[in-house]
Amino acid sequence: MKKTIILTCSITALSLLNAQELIIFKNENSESQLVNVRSVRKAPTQEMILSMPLDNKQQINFNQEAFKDASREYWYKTTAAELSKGVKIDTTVPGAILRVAPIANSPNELEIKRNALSPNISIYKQGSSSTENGLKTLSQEEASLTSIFKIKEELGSGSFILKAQNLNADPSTEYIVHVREKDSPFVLATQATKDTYLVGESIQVTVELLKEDEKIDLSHYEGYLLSPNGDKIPLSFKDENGTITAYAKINSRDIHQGLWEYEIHVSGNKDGIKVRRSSGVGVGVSFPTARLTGEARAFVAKNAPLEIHIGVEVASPGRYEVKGYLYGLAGSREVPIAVLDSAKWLESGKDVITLRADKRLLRNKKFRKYRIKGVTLIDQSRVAILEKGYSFDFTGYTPPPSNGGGNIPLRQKQ
Amino acid sequence: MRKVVLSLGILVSSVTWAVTGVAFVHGTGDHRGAGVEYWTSEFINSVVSGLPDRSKYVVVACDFTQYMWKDAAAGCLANYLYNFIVSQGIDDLVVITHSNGGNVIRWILSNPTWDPRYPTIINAIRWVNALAPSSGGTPLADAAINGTVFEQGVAWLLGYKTDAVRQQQVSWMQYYNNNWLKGTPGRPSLPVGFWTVVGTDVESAIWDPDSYCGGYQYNAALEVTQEWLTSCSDGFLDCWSQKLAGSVWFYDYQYMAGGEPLSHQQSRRACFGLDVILRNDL
Repeated sequence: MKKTIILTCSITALSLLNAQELIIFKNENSESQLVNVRSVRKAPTQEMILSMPLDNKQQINFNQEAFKDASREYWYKTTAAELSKGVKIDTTVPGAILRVAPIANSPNELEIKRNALSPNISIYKQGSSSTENGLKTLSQEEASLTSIFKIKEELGSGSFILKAQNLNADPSTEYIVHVREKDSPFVLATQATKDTYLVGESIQVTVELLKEDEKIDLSHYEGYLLSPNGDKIPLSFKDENGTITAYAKINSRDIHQGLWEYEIHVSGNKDGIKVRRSSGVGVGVSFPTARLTGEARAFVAKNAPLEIHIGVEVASPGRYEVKGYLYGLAGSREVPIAVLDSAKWLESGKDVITLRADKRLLRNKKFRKYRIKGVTLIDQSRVAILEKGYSFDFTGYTPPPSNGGGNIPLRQKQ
Repeated sequence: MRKVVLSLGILVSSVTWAVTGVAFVHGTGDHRGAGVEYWTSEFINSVVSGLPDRSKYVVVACDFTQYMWKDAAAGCLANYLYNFIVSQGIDDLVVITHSNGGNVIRWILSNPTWDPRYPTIINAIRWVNALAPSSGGTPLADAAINGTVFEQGVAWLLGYKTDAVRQQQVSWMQYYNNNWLKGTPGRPSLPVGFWTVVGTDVESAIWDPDSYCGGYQYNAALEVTQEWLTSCSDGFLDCWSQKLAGSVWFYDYQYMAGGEPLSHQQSRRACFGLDVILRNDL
């Protein structure tokens, strides 16, 4: 399985093309205001126009959903002082895995905290008179930075007290307690409305605590958005007829690398079982540095590459990429032809990026109508997805009327 | 479906005029100056003995603590591959990746307009043999970011909260798969084959000699981290994650000697005949 990428040089021989069509594929006025922000990489300036064959059997989903989390775990921060007094652990099934780790802001800090915890930690079932430690140590290294334990199966589930004795740490030292119940029927399901947002937009996340398919009322919920440089934006919550949505407007003054994350913590009760869950999910956030104008021009001619010029409006100079997937239309059937992918350096203002299907890819694939799907605009200088998912149709090459030489149709004698 | 050739017979290539080379691409971590140590000379020498010209190989040594798209990661990998292809006249390149190295090569294969060198690299690659690739990420990366490292034994996988660990969180990898990378379900296929070898279990019994291949302490640590994963995992990655992109070449138990599983440590070592299978594939 190997497909050759065809790199065409940047020729624009439009005069040779005998058919062109203006296409309007989106309403430009609905977009947010463009901004000029710095680049995060030194991108090449060379224009590249590529096309690759698209597999006949390829099923591409152009409406990929955002990540749907199904969390069977929760975590919270505590301190050495609180751990010494004992912190509460709630579990829903026997055999939960616990991880207790110091929180550090640097590798050096981690080294200082090494070995401060692991020998001294124990767990007891709340209300039990047993003094036997309910933890089975899984971690096999004495100098581990993290202690990993399993609550002994025979203790069942419910509420426990986790306690650390003789901690060799300052009382204010922060730890994270992480409880994972991978066989629990209780799941926190969260999903954002999309996987990429623009700065200035509002992120929205649906939040459901489920036991299999049954929804459980939440007694507590909180959360925040975390930018790649650690800024936190609190999430607001609204409850509409039992459907909880978390939301926040994404604000940022400076560009950062990597994804943003939302982190949501909830609790609820079901048949006397207290359920605690957390969800942390990455989402893409981009500055609106450029946009598709919504106009394209298609150029189709016999014995020539097929070209589509996609209009782009730019506020931040940089390297921009447009890609799309070319199909021929045979009735209602879409015949995959090629992936079209182009990138070039654009200054501020309006310009076009040219998609081109090499004529070798069109051999035996001439259609009266074509479709471009999954049109995506990418800011390569800032590693950002700006717009995606547009599609449009355009007219293919239509042979001129015949000047004779064909078969004379037979006529029935009267 | 590709088949594994277990015999040591001479393979007659239909492309005898091609100049075949092999590239070894390491996983997460900063391995600048230490690419060979990642794989071991034993593994590399065994694999390249299957080349018509044993000198035609390159061991990549980049900084994969960075996001895959960074110059220190994909840029560095492109440097190695492009220079190797051009200087050695390679037109039939087999790329062998381990773990996060599969993501970095997928970045190059998926984003051909990112760098003018990428089309040359893509067109020279025969296929990628992706050993335990972290295509779908791992819950261990989520836990490592949301806390600290697990064990010294997996420090080579999950060091301090690096961008590469951040990137291999499960939801992050879905984002990158859906927007930037090809080869996962519902996404366009990669321009070359991406054939995965899936590690399904970890064995670390102190009395079992097989547990010592690759280093007992590493396998023991991966047995602990398995608690964070599903029942089918190599101690770092669930099987579903390893086979999310491309096509499964084989599961460890199908072709490893004695049906042994490959832990995440062992899938970069000459354990249970893995090196011989890769050698015969060249």
